[in-house]
Amino acid sequence: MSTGLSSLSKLPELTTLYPFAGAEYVYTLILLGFIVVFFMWQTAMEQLHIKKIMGEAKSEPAPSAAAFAPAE
Amino acid sequence: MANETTALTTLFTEFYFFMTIVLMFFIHVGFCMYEVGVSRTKNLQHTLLKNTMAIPVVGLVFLLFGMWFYIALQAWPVGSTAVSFETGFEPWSQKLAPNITDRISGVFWAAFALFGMTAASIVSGSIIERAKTTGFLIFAVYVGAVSWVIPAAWGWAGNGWMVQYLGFHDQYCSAVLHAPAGFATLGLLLALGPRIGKFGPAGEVREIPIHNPWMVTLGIFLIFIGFFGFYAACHIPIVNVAAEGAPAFWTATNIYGVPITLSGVTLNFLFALFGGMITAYLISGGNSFWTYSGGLTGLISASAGNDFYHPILALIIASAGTVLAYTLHNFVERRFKLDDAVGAVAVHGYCGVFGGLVAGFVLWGYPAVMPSPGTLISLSEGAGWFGTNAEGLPIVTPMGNAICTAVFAIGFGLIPGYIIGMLLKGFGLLRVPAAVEVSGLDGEVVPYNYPAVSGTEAAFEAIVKQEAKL
Repeated sequence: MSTGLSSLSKLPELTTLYPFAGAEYVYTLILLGFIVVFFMWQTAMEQLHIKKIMGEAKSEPAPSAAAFAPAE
Repeated sequence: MANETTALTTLFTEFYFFMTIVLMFFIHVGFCMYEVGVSRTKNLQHTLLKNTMAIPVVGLVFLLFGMWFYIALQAWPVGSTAVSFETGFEPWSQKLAPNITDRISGVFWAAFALFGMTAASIVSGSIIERAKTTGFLIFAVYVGAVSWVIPAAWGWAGNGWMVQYLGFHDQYCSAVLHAPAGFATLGLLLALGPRIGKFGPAGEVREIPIHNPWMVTLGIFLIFIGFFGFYAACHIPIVNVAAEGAPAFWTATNIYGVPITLSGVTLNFLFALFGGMITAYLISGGNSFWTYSGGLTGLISASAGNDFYHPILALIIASAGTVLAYTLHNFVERRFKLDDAVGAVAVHGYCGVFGGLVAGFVLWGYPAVMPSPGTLISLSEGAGWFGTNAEGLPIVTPMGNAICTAVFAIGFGLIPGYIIGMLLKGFGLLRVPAAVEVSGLDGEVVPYNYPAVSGTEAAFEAIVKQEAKL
């Protein structure tokens, strides 16, 4: 079985070298999905990270925040 | 390949672009070191990873649509209303994968993708210590794969409509890349707000102590090295620019197909660097942050015309741009309470605009483009709205460069930067809560950033001694 390159006897006829040539639209969809999953995962991961810090911050003595002016 | 000349020029070009990509990665090493050096010890890993993740994220979306924008939109909407989906740079193209019939598209794509990652990195440093990574990465998709790519298609390609009709010239992307990235940063900063404690109750500016000045300076040194790769990637390194039927004329060209020498460009690069560093050193009273940043302000100020300037001209322009950046940065910080942690708006935004404007005056009358079969550049019907030379080629003018620079900085930088920033803010994706900002964005890993300083190492060593019964 060969998914792509199977012979080197006709060099001038060589074109694509990668497996499953012709499935580029499928590759594109995989790329798109990978990006979407990354952003969803990243968003959830960061929210969790922030919640954790907030929890730790509440359990600590209050910082001397009077000197600061929060920007938001 | 059909013959030795084709083989040599093709393989040389392939290897040339490959090496520029390697060099350009130093920009990212530099940005990471720089930003981490500027951050306080409670924010180091967050700062590092926020910047680092821009590399893969921008790279992925650049394959998805970034490079296609650059190729497909060059004539649109003025030269042509048609947009092709058969450019060879769609994500499903067979040329962007190992293919023995194409040795250029991949390295060409990668050089552009590195430009995009750099553009996104420009934003990253300004917003450290209070911005969420998710918001930044969404913003990075815009800045890295859209904000400068469409300007590049229009004004940084020989067949781009702004080059053909407005005679725009910006060889090393002062206005094409640095201006939109810098002004998009400004828009985002307006939505984001300053770090807690940056400005006092009376509005006075406070210096937030940076945690490692040596990382900052070495980081900018590495950016200088990467900048060589960036410059190199803006050329066609070897091509026959002769007209059809004329004797061959092999040369390196700028991005517009006009013959140049790498030798001359090297001097201009260095003299712009020298001018910026010396000027910044003097006007800042020997401030190390500004002296190193001055190398960048000098380079970016002179970059638009550094393919043709005399080295001393490059030095003068670099000096002037550096004075402008230094003065404006301090004025805007005081007057508008803008907390730009690394001075990116000044270095990239103000100097990018300055560079684009100056090139229009200094190179007034230069042919903006040279069509030839070798470079695949052709002349559009009716090209040269602001004038043509004796051969009918569009010429560089102050008006043409001013219009394009303004469109890039405001239209692709400031306005969308502010709108996207406000949208991110509205969705709660832009800024961490104040409590997180105060305690540090690294959370539970803060004590591990410098274990010898935080006491973590000493605590562990105490356990070791106890277990060893010493």
